[in-house]
Amino acid sequence: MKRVWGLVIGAVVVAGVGAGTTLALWNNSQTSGAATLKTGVLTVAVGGQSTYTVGPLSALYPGSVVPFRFTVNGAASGHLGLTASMQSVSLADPSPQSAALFNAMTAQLYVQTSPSDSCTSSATPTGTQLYGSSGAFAPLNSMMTAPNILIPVGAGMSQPDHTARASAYLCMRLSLPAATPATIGGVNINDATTSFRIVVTGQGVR
Amino acid sequence: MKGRASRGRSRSRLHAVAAAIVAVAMLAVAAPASAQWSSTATADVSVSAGYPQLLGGNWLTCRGPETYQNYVNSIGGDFKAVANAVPAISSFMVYRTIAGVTTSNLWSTTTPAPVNDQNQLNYMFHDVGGAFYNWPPVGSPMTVWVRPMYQNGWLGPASNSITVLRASGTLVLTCTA
Repeated sequence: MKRVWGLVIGAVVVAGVGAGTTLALWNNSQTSGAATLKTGVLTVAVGGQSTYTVGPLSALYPGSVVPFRFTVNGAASGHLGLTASMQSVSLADPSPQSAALFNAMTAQLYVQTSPSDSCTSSATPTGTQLYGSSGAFAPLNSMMTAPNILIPVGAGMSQPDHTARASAYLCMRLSLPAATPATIGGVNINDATTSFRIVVTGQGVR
Repeated sequence: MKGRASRGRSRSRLHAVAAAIVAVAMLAVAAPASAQWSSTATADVSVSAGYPQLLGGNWLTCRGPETYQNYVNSIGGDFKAVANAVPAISSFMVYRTIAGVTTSNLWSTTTPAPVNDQNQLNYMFHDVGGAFYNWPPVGSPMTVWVRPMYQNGWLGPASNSITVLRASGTLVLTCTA
């Protein structure tokens, strides 16, 4: 039984060390051969920038569709793999007009294989739909509470310099349903402007 | 025999406990190896609601004096209706500013005609019978512009404006781009 308790205590100590605490009950050292310590750097950008500006977009009226593109670029060195996701969408301008317009808008999001793929107001984009389904639009404000939208970024760890570089070409389309009134809840959205922020997170995994 | 069996069960329990401990220890050591690095970037999007400009906005003109409906001195600002506009226009909102005070009226609450006829001109200051209305006071310039009206109360961008000046009981019109 003593041996059992000894093992239990030993395991707790090992677990503590593994968890990063500084519980040093034993002190021992050995010299090992030369080791290579590899560090990794991960960067993610939208349109090549940490903060990418889209717009101001215009001509958004009932029944219209306003498209825009943005590219997610990622690089992960040090034998890292790379994943990316749309972490959040949040309203940047909380004024009543902005919020009313934001809440009335619908959206769809596609990931495409090429930056020259179709992304227009008149035709359903090519590629894989990440938000909305079956070519339909979904409320933009639901993106605020949607789980992370995984953005396929492609390449893994096969680069010669062990750096994974990948891009995802995204096409987002905004719309207002055809029956949207000019005034919603007493707020006139006729000439309203809204702004919102999309946060993209890149993760290096090994 | 009984003592040997008992020692065997005890050894098995010991092995199970030891295996569990080793598993816990391996998990504890392995946890940092699954750590992830992350980085974020943002896209700031701004968008405005509204209909696009019609005909570059320059679709309000001045006319007259000319004969209209057999009224020889017909004078009025008017505009060409855009029958083929997409989306379709249902009417216009007319704005008048005199001495800094702006008022507005719907062009028509009933039939859109002749708004929906691209070939017709809509006289803003007299009716089809030749009766004038919406005149400004003598010597007070009146600035006039219009906005197209769409379904559900949406208004399009404003047109250019014209200035109407009434002098000695007549209308003298000047246009600004």
